[in-house]
Amino acid sequence: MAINFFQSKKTKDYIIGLALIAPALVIFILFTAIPTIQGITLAFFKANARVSRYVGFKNFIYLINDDIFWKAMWNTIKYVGFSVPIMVSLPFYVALIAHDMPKKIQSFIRFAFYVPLISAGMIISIVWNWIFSPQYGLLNYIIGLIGLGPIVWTGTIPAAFFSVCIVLITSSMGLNLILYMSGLSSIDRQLYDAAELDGCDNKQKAIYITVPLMLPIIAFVTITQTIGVMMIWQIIYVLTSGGPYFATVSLVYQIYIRAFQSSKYGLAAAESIIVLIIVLTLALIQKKVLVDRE
Amino acid sequence: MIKTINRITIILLSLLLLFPVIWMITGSFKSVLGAVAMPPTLIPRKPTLENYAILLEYPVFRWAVNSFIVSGFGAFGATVFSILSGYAFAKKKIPYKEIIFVMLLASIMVPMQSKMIPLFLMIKTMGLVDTLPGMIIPGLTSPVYIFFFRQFLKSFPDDLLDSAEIDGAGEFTKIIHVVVPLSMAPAAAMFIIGFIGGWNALMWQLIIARSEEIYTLPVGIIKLIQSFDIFYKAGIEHYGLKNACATFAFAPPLIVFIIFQKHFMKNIFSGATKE
Repeated sequence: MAINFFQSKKTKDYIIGLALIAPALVIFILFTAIPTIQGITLAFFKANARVSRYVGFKNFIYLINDDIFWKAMWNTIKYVGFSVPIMVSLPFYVALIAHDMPKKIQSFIRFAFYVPLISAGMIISIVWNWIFSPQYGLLNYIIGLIGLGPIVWTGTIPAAFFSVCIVLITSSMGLNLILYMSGLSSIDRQLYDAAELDGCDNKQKAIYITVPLMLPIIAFVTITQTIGVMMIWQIIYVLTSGGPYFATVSLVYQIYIRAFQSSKYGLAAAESIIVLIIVLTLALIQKKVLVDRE
Repeated sequence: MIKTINRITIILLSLLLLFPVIWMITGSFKSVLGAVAMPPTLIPRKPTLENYAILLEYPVFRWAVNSFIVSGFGAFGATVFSILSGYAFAKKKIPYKEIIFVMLLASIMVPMQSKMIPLFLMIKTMGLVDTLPGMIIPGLTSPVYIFFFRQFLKSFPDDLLDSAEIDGAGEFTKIIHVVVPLSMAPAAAMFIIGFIGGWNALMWQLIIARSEEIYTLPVGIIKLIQSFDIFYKAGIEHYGLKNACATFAFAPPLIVFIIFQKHFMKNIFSGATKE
């Protein structure tokens, strides 16, 4: 019986299959599944470097009454509301124009959009810090030429918010452009030829053929970019440290500060649960929009 | 006419996006006073290498090596494990296969922040804080990669694997001589994406790295930028030096990207484009 069990083809297949996924699965369980569950329970504890005590919903109640939490929440919404429309539509416009330009120019445009994305947001923020400098920055010099400024870009309200947005937008559109360009090149040329025969002009072709066919990609880019912007923290870390007067703090930046500078683990965990709920909701919407359409 | 205006607009826009990077690179050759001189010039009036000379007094090469180890091993491990499990999910029978797979996919949605604190405490108990393995190991499973290779290997003809089996190939031989060689192109692209991604996974590296020898390059550069005093000279902020720091950290992933650009674009999006 025992010998039979080990020798059956099915069992052998099971063992091979399990052996193949074992490395990935063990690491997944240890370093993703368990910490995620622990993170959820941690939100109900008063936890810092020294103590760990169950406190029920106290962390959440503290957050609801915390002005800075709401400030971070509102700022995060503003980051999304201001930058995502630009990050979704501008690359689309560029892709539309670029896709019947010469191949060499196309790959230059792709390169230019992608390069700022190659390095961590923190690194590219270093040079922006200089560009934004009130006295020695390029930006104030340029607006000075037309008689404006000087503006203290990263240190005043509302300029600081827009400074973060400028860095965010200019450095994160690369993948969107690439997705749009490859989407456009997969549209069947014959559709356009047929439309042309029926007397459609360029505008009509864009509205009735291109946009509907690209809608799944546009939806995908919108959702992933929204989730991406919600996670913003690196640019803030280098550019403004959340200031002035918390005008640029985001939820994730605040979680990082609470957890690893103030060691308030429980509170930070509670705040990340809130981010998790928002992201999961967005992901569900994404699934509805993308999968259920098909 | 409108077409020409549009075309010029998007080329100007591309140049504008590229500009900060160019400004950073040329700025790294400007002296303390050169960087703040008005009017600003793109090409330094008196180019100098002194910023890089100062930079080299710090263990930047050590940090670069650390970064290469962390992103190289991380990307390699994630790619290999993902080919193996992608193959298993596509072609093998595994108990509770669907449930395991859905669990993996669901975890893509979970932001790093939600698991960061317990993960840090776990790494701490394992004694891996302030070590390179502590930075590498948690990233070795990438659900996105596993999903990608499962899709890729699903479209793989069964006949090929069966005929190998008839020729007497064991599971191990099949993987080494059939599965791996045929997955090479997407695997290379995944490796590059993983490499650049690992190079930039700053939050986790900032948390784990404590001592100077363990810093990765971006972490070291950020810590250097924050250590204020070397950046002030006669009351003026030393932007030239800051730019040299940023350029030095920017260069490795940029070079990797430029070398593999063609390859990378072709293989990732070949599924989406028809050519």
